[in-house]
Amino acid sequence: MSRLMAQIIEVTREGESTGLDPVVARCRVRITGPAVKGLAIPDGVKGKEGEITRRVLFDWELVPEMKILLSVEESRTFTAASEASSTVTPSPPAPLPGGEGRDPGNGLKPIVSTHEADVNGDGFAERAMENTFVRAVVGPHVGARIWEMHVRSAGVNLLAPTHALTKDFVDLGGHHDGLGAERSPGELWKARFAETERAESDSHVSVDYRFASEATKGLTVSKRVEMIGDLPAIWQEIRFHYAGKPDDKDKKTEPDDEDKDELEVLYKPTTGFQYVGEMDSHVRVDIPLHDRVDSYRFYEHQWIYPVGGVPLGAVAVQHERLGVAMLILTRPGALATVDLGFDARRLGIETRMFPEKLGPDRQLTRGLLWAAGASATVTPRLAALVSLGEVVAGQRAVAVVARHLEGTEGEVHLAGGALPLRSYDLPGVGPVLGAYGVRSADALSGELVVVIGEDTVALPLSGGETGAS
Amino acid sequence: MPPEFRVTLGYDWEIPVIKPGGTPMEEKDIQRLTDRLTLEFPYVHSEMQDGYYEHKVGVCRSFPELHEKTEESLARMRELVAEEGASLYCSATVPTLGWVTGCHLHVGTFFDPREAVATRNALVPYMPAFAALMANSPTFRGSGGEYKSHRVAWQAMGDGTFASARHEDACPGEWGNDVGVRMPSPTMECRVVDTPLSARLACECAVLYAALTATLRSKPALRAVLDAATMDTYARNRHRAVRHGLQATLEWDGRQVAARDILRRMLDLAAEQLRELGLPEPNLLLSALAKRQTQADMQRVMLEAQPDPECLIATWSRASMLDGAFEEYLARAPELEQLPLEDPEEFVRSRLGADAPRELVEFRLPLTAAGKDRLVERLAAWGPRPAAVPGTPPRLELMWAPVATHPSGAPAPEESKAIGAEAAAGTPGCWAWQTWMGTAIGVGARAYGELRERLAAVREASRLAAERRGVVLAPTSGVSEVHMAPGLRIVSATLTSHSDGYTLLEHFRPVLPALAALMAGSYAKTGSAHGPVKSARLWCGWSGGFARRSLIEPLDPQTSARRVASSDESDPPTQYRQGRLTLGINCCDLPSSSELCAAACLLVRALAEAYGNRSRPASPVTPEHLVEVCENWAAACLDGLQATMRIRGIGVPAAEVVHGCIADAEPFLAPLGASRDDLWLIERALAKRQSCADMQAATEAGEPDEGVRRARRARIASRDSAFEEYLARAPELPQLPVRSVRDLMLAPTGLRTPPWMMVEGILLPLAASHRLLLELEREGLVRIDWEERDGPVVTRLAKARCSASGA
Repeated sequence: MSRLMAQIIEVTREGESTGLDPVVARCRVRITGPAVKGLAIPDGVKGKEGEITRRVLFDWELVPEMKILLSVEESRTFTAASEASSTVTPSPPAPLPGGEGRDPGNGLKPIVSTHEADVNGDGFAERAMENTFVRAVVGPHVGARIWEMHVRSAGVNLLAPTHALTKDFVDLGGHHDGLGAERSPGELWKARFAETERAESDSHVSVDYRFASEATKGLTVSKRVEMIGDLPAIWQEIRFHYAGKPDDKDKKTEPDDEDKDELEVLYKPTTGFQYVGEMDSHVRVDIPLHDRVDSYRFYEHQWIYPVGGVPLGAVAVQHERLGVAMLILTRPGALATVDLGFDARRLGIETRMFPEKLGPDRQLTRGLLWAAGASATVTPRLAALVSLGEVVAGQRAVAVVARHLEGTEGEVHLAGGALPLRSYDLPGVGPVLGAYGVRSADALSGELVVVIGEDTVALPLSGGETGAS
Repeated sequence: MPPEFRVTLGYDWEIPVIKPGGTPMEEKDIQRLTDRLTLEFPYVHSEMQDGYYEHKVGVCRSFPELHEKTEESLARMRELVAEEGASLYCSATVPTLGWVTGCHLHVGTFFDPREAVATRNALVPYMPAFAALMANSPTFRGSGGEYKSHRVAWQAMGDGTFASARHEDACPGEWGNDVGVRMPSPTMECRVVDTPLSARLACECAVLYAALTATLRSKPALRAVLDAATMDTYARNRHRAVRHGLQATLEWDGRQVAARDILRRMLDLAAEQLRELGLPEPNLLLSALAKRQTQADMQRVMLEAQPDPECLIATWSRASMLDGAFEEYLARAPELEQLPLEDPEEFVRSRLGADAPRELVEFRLPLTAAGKDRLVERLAAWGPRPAAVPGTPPRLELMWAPVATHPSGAPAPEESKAIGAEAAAGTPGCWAWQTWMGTAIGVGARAYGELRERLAAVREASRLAAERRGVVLAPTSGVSEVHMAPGLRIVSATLTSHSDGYTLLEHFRPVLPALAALMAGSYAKTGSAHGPVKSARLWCGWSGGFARRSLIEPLDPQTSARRVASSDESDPPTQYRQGRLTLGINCCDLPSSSELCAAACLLVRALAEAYGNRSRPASPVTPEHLVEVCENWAAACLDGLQATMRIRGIGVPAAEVVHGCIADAEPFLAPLGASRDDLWLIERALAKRQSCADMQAATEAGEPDEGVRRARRARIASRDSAFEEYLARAPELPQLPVRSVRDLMLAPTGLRTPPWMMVEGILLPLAASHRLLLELEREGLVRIDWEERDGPVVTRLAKARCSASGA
């Protein structure tokens, strides 16, 4: 987010403050740089002077020479006018191509389309990717963070970030990826945007970070976000690599170790699975969407440590009213990192402890699969989500994303015949099962049944309640 | 004789320090600033973490002293922070960060623990009023609005929890509750106060707390009895206070009373002491009461004016760097309305889905153990239940630790964690569990045969994983650093209620030292002044201290609550594990023999079945019995199976106590797929009074080098059958006499300083240890310096040395 830091030159107040009624304060400010050190801002913005208006309660809130953080809107008045930077798309928020104008393909092989636009109007181009089921917006300049994830059939953005901290609202998913979030430290913003590759069915965005501080010198974080063409899913892979310091050469312990338990690294030693993340789970939260005034209730069903088996590594969030759901899959040991309000600081990436615990010349991969659709459920052994999408008239695409504790073979039963489940092996996530098919719209009602081994899960095709046996 | 109580007061004021943009300042940078502050103000003593520091102005005796020291030191700290381009952030939460900070008030100085505990209990009902007055965390981790004190509502992330009633004659020192008798400095600590913005309000509140404490101490007639109803009211008021601050309506003496009216009564009650402390009129506090305004309300108003967390951070930082911002706000703020009495249950229901697990419901509304049970019963129609894992839970369940060492015998904690994760992932019926001491592996089974198989399989998988990493698998408590030594944790039962767990623990309490003696397996040659220790983990390890801690006080589910978020290493009566409410038995050292692990699990599980059929013991445990239990713990740690336990005044060999357990358990072995024959290894150990610790001692005898001893111990522990082979050849050991706590205390290092902080070695209830020390002082065996800064210091006199050597 291109928020700016400014210094107040002069303040003029309109009216007199009495009681706790705010007064309007007009501030003449000079831009001193980006809000967070290291963030690129358009050329010509630094040093620029302009006026902003704020409502304040007390005289001491705004005084000359004070540095203040400009809001998104205030910052935009300075960046939008600048046409000097090559990284900036000086356009107002642009809508993505909607469903009507989009090539639906032939229904047999869905197509991922990509689009560049300043979706959120922050002055930087975001990368949007969409397929039949979902639309995702990724912000390369904020660490390839998944900015939005829409369930196309419902028109709901599941990751709706809100920066207006209003009563009873929680920023669900706003910091889901733990890196490059707007509150992350400055060094993270030094991102090198890699080429966006486009293939027939997949698309991805990559970002490399190099840390600048003394504590984290030598640490590289590479991130890749990929839309899986025929599934309502985005796969996010983050690779941490620490080259080590010159005097670490003799300390090399072992080559790249992909299997290292990442919690050793991601958490400080005094924390463990008894983590606040568990407190956050199961909590019903209200989240506001960008363009809606009412709010929506979510309820998380989380299974972290099922008895008698290896944890599944799945979290499902089921919307109560709108019939939309989100399924998050990751390596079981990393599940605790799926946490609301989670950011780079919580991971401790910017501290010296992180590279120390990672160890010289070692690499760690962390992955998350975000799937969105109509309904989802998680049992101790099986997690599944179903999503529906429009293709051609009278036909609808249906896709299932699942994970089973042991099996990687199974079938999806629904009217009109079974669909085979295929296995995807995603680094950092593990085996993920997916099915895709097209059926007549009339046939897609009632329940869809996922059978893997001896486990069965029934998912309603219209969203709502789920059942497991 | 100890001096009389006198009023001293102070605080530990945790203050976040943030850089522009809301980034917390690093510990080393804060340290640099506080070092400079201490140079200028020697009375300032600070501790710090990444992101915040504790501002302390030492022990004060009056409001003027406390206020003056606070003002001048805080003003200087503001200057120092400003020079770095940073600012203080005087709130219990920073909206974009995940941690919380508070202001812990301390009142002293207590020299009599009975008096301190009685006063502490009397203070419990007043805690919600303090929480309401000082609420200052209306935002938390990106959310806002639900509570005025999110910090207290969220139990200060485990550091400020519901305060159970304590028994005056039998309770250990405490930490982390709303109010508690804090050791080693014998003060009364209050932890419900959020980090305040206003220094003046903080000082007025601290003095009110001190005055109230002194009043309740000196006037026993004013103390409420902490029965089930009082504790229930306290719990509900606590919820209301953190929700609505000074707008809250609370329950008091069966009537609805405004929170501010309760605070006014507290001011009246403590008026005399307030005058003596130099604060006849706490003006700022009274202004806040008059308008029902808290610092949380000020944050809310600012948030409404600029609904952006970053803007709130900027503005609140600015306010924190000024003197008197809250006073200025209060002068202009309107009087807020009184809110009606809130039903906490309705609130929880409105926030949680019907299938919310019971653990979460209980976390959102902390109650006593029985209160939790009643709540769930009342809400049964709504649906909260233990996180229902489908299927039948395993009947036998234990937590095993894959400890590994380097070939040199040095601990290899990093490798141990990796081995645990790998072995658990590849073995059916096993799962990894991360604790602060490392990875533990859960092993569950329906029948005994299955448990043995799974345990053997996970041991073998761990051995192979260790080999690949070039380390030695040595699953024993005896090779780790003693404070980090893991034990064998056994799930004795899945419970239907917390009260059932309390009852079960009452039955387990007298036999647990004997079980600990049987499983002693962390030998330390120079572990204590009394000679070698057979369970160093229990004697002085952290987990050992916790394991015994909850067993040296009476457990009444009507007035006691345990921390839901208790750590995995402690031994609370009940805890949720894998979503199920369970009673964990954590007093066993981890033996290298998987056969012994399985047999111990079988015995404990069958014993729980036997005890489960019994009702709560008719005669409650007395302080005298608890002293016996303490002696037995010491004997178990020191002597292992050679110990003689004192049971209701009669000396019984530890092996006999275990034999009694086996007899009790025998009828319940068959349903677990086992018979008495399956306890053969335990019986063989009992016959020879030999435990794993004796094997360690025998195989290390005469070896002076610690490194060689460790390596040898690890090599032996790496062989699963080593203990069986040892027992076959080992001689029967002699029975040792009863350990008297008095003798133990008079041994060369038996005396701990200060005397009430005996969480290591001899752990006694506060009152018992106090009585015993006074007795020893009267007999001229010890000298006690009561006036030391960090609590009384005890010195053994020459006569005692003679007495000890004579013993």
